[in-house]
Amino acid sequence: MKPLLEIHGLTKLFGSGCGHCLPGGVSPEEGNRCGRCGTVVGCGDVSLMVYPGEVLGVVGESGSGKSTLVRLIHFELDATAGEIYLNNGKEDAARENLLMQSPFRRRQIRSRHMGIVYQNPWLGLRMQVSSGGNIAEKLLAAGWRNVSEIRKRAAFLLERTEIPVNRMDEPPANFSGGMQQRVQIAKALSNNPQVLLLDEVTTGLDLSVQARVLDLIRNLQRELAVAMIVVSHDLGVIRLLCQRTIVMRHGRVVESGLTDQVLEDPRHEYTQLLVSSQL
Amino acid sequence: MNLREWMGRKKRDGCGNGPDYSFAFLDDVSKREIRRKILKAVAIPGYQVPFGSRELPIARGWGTGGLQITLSLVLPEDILKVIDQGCDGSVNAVNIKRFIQAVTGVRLTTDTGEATLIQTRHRVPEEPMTDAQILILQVPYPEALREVEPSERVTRRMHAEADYSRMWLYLYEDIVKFDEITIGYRYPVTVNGRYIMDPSPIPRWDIPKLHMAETLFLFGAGREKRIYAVPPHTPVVPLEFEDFRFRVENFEGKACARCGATDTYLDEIIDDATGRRLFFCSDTGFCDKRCGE
Amino acid sequence: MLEVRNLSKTFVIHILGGKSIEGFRGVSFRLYPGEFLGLTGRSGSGKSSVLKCIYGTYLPASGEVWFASERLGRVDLARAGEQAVLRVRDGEMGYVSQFLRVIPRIAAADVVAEPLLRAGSEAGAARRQAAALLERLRIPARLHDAYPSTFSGGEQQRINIARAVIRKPRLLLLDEPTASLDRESQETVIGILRELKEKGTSMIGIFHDRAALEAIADNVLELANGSMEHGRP
Repeated sequence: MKPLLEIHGLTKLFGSGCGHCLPGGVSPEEGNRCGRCGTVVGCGDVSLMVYPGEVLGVVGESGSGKSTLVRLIHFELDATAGEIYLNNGKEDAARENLLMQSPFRRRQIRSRHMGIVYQNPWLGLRMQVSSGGNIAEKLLAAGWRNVSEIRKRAAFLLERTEIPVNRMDEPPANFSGGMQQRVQIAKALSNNPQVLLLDEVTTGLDLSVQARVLDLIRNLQRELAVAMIVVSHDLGVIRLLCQRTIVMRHGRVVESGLTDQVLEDPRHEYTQLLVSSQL
Repeated sequence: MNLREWMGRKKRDGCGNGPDYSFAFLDDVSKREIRRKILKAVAIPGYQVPFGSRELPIARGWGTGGLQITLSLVLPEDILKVIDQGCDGSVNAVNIKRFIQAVTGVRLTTDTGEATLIQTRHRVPEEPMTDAQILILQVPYPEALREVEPSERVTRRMHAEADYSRMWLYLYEDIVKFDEITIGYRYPVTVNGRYIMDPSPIPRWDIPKLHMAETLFLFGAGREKRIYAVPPHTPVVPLEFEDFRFRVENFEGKACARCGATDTYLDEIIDDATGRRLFFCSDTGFCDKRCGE
Repeated sequence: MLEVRNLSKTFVIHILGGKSIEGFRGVSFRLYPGEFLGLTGRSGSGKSSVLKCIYGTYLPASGEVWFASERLGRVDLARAGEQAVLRVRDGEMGYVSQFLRVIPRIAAADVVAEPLLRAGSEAGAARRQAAALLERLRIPARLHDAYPSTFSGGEQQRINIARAVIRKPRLLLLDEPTASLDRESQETVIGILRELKEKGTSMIGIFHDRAALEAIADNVLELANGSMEHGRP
């Protein structure tokens, strides 16, 4: 089976680097910030694969580079080095490192093949535009040009994400946090993405709301078999959703494996600490 | 001091013989700058080319973009027509016309067919134009995306990446709220399948005239320092949905009270004395021509 | 079906200054189709760890776990990639622990039907099959739509078993599957396991209850002080 998403040596440095820390940033033993020039390793030499229909977890404490990784994959940040390949399912398709593509091409790929849900709905939604419009924007970006078809699709997605369809023309600003998160999910799924990126989507929600959002994600995953990267600092969320997990610290992957293996037989010092710190 | 006195003031002061301005007022360096940017604009249809906008003896925002294009292109043998909202006789049009004539000596006309160079504000003439003519449009706001994005930096990135979903979203929300696209003028168009362009505040009526035309259309925004172009035979397609089509203004059942035309863009005028609503051709040159026939 | 060679497991605990704790060492055995191997030994002798090393929840320190997979051919699970282990787990290898760790807020019947759905069964048929199995395990129909997290220990364990056996895996790993069951339920479970065994499923089981072990095991492997001894039940 061919991986859907392939990432090799993905690196993002914040800062210009110096003789001490280049190339690739300061060594992991020293942390993620160069003591001489202050350059921070947002993401250091990260490699991973996501297979079709698979859910990959990314855990680590805040500042470990989880969100940076997701934003690099979503082309929101420019990588310092590395390769990203997205296999579109066609056997004969040319293998192109997406990081070397023009911003125009990358935007196309993002519009057609990726979806993202942020922790903060303000990042993923236009609060003053109608909820249906928020979904429409993604469809319009993917080339949809028929209003009634767009509305039909938006209504379908809102129904799937348990938002009353009669509130479709209301702006998300009127909605509760959990509803906003579900509108975000509807928007992210609107273009039938190959990869869905979930960045701490349940953080900050009430427990019962959190459960509902997680159930929704799990059901959608099973129905649509969409591949996902789930970023969370919550091991419970990871255990619930992900078959495989990588553990990040100081911008680097310190451990990776089957989720049950990482959680029950962690080998890296940091993972052991993380697992034993669970409430 | 009137215009002619002002232009001859050095001669009057005794410090020179000829007029102290080049043909068509602009110096050669300025003309070269503007012509180069026009060439670039023609090469990339619909793309806004920044240019070094010059100071002119009229204020920014009064057609200086169009005027600079006209002045950098005009030749002694040109025949010039200047219109303001279709009208040859408005103060603005007359002022610009007089100024150009004073600095070039070119012949003036109100006949679209006769003119080689037409500078216009907010209208495209009704009479079909040919490949021997150039239409220069004055543009107040060259950025079609400004409605959805205030930052110039961001709109430039959006154009570069053809990231136009927000413009489309604007139309979608319009339809959700009003059940139709309510944009009356400055209707956004896609040029050559690539850039979304502001066609200047021409009515929707004039949009189809830009599509696959014989004529070169040049757009100049003096205050905003942008030049862009639609070359001849270039597709210009208004933004529309499959089920919400672009429509031009509907003048069904109305006719010009002067020439009787039923196939032109009409201005509505209320007679102060009688309170009657009357319709007249917005394009006065065209109306005159019909009346003369 | 399965050949385990010289399997060992040690845990390195960094929080205790990198202290090494031995799980078990030098475990080797062969398992044939339809065979049931019982693991015995004092608590702490590493029985559960052996199962977890085979299933992939623990990474063995050394040794090989050769599994004759239908889909992938002969594969050493100790060295195979994560994808290979996931594929073997999906339909070929099942694991039942003494604790229920099911996804919360899903009806019991859906928990049990889920492996069938993943394998591509039609939803209605999968749910009917799940309900029949639950019925057989004497989970009353009124509980089928309830969440297992609200069930008693014994009921949860039966859900666990049902979920593991519904796709008839070729290798089943059982870690005290009958620990909290009453005698009657225990017998039902043993009955179900026997049927699977007759159809060719190989099993490795840890049974707290000697009688249950004797009722089903063909061979027994005794772990003592982390190493092993072969024998008959």
